[in-house]
Amino acid sequence: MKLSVDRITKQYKNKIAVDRISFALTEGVTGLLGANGAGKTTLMRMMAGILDPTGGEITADGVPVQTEGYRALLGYLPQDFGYYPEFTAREFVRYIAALKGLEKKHAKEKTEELLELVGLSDVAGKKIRTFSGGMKQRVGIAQALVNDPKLLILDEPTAGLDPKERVRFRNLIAEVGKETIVLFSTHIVSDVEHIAGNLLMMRDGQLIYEGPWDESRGDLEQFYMEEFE
Amino acid sequence: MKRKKDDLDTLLREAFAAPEPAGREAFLKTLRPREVSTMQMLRQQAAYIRVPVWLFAALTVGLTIAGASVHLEETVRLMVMLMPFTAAVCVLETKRSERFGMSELEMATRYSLRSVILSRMIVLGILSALVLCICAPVLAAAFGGGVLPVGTRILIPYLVTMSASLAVERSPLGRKNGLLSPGIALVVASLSFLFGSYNPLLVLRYLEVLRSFGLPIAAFFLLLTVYEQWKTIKSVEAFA
Repeated sequence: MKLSVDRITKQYKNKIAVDRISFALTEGVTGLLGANGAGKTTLMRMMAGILDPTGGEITADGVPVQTEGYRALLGYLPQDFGYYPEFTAREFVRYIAALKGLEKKHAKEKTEELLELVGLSDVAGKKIRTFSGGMKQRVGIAQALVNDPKLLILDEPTAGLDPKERVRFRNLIAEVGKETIVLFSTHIVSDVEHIAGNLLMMRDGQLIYEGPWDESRGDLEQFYMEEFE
Repeated sequence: MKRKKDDLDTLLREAFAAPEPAGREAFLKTLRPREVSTMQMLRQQAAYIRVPVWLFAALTVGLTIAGASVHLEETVRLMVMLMPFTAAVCVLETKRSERFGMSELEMATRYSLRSVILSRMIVLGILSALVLCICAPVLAAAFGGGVLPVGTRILIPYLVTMSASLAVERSPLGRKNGLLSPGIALVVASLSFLFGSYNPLLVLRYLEVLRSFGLPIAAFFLLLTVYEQWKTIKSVEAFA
């Protein structure tokens, strides 16, 4: 599958949050790096179809972002997400599965499979409000994967994860990325340098780097520190 | 003889055992997502309406039937004061994606958040209509006055609260404050109570007006409510 982002722009009254960005992604993991306010979340929201761009277009194999067909391919984890207070981890994932149109039986199986995968099967029946930040994030990851997405957009997915969970998450994403387009944003260079075959770097709403990391440029972390800190 | 047959069955099953499914997951991924009908969507959302909402509706109906069965004269006034809270509960339920920070996730699912909110509104509208359709005839049969005047008498405070709450909940103040709808319900219920207590003659005059113009008044507030619902749905995906 090919995801095309063509001259995508988002302008608020007197601020351009994303400025005519174009790129194309195929299966694999792409890391999106940038400082706070660089426009990463705005770009991801437009790619997830929840924010209308001011200009440009986004398509997946020619299917426009605004359509149900595009959303059927999508898995999305926002930077901050809430949950209904009465929901258990299992109910939460099943609710999202229902909204993604999964058959009840398939949704049930898939929910158990994913909760096992993210290490929450023993607490699947507990209310999310009793979970730690890392556990909530893992529930978020499970819901994003519930429809076997062809395009997975993860906005700061490693926030709140402890080092052990972070490594486990990286391995999971690397596995998913074999058959799926995965785009994930982070501040932490080590999150992407081991698993991302492709990098996007944003600054002030513009793309300043695109492609696999070129080793001749030196250490990625060093480059990132110089560019963004 | 039977045992021999069972053994033969087992041997046959073993000899012609179905092979392990190969590429099952890959095959499932190639299937198009199923189509979901409007009824399925409504049923799905109805399953996620919180229990207190159903309980509140049941309580309203229960109180009506109990009051009517013992001929408690104040039952109609009680219903007039309860209906605004039914409306507030419905508005809170409609807006709960925003309240609990689920909007962004629900927007990115296959069905747009608009579909989700619209489905919730329809389910809650049907529930409120059911409450009204049970309460109005029961009250009219017990206390007289006709189904239509009694129906409009309890419907109008509901619609006033619903339309005002929907409008206020869309405002920046409403987005920050989760208690505005119950506040509006309290104001409407209190006004109904004060109006009823202030001057019984005024109430009689109001009932006469309802007998003559109850339907057009209710229709006006119904249209206003539908307009506010439309505006609410329209504003749903104006994200960030």
